Amino acid sequence: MNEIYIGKALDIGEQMLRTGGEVSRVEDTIARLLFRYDFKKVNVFTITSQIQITAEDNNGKVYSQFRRIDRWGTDLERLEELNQFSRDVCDGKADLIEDFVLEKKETQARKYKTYIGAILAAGGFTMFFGGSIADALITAVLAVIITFFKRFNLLINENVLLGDFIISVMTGFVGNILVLLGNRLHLGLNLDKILIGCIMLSIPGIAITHSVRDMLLGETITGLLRFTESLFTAASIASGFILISFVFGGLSV
Amino acid sequence: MNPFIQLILAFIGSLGFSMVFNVKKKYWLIIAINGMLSWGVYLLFRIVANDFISYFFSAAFCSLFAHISSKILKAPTTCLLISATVPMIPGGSLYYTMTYIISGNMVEFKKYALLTAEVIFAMSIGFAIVSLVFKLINNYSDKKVQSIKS
Repeated sequence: MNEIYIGKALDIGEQMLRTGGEVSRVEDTIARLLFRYDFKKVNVFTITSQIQITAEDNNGKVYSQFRRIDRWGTDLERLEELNQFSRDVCDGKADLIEDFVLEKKETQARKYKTYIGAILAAGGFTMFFGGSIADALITAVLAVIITFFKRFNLLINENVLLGDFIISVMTGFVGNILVLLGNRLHLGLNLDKILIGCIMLSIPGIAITHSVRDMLLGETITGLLRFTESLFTAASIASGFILISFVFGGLSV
Repeated sequence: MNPFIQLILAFIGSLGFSMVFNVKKKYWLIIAINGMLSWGVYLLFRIVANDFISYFFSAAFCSLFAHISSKILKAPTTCLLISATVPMIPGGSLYYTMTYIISGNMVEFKKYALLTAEVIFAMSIGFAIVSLVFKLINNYSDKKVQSIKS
């Protein structure tokens, strides 16, 4: 029975990490959940790709389990639900085994929210970094393309870096064509501002900043893992955009 | 650019990202206001101080605002913080860093890489200090955590 509790606690921790929870939150949550179910000593070690638990129950028997986490994204509503659920369990309002739902189905509203949000964010930041309204409109088109590919995890399943590279090559291709056509109509588009808008959407700039924060707060391995991964992702996305732009620049001169 | 337009765009950008990251609808307005105000703090400090100091205080303000509102709304801090930090993220200089390394312009590459690193460090220090302070306050008030840690 105790093994099942540890497994469920791992499930919650895994889901939290996958939806963008911090490592310290995951460790804290798992420790609290297991103390709720009468474990005496709980040791949790978490980095972004792994959770390890060793717990001792009242009879002195030691249980140990670990979980490999291979992919993470950001879904803050789900994170808040998980947080609330584990609080309820600690307060005795819910049961860890009976009430826990592992996967939630995506609603139609969530789908539209992602697209609208991507359009607002990418368009807004294109103008924020000095683009015009016409630039923002083109960025909105590209944001829809990026979100489409990201949502279905096309090409990302095998190798994340290669997937990001191919997505950015395709987005850059469409962007370059739109800019060429637009400049024929004398709209005065700036390709670099458009691509910065797209990059704000797809590059893990947020992850880079928060990973440095993690390192400063003492989560060195977690911070380093995410920092290195983000740098490579940033490089592969940017090189996709820029290589295709060089191809177009070479052709148009 | 006109600072008022920048503030409006920071508002729209934070709002967009809170949709992308699927934050609950009731927090959208707070996140967008936080993003806008933090950018306002940056612009204010930029008048008298250098970039590092301005980004530091801007990030500290953003983190403080998110922590306090998360205490009031009883929501995880991450939910309220991440989308609001986006206007400060150095997307532009990160883009130029990558462009120049690929086109082989090492002088410009160094300039933009250092600029990006400076901004990232300034922001991280701001976030780290505020979240450390709140961690200390939490540990002091929460006896349960102390019994777990000991």
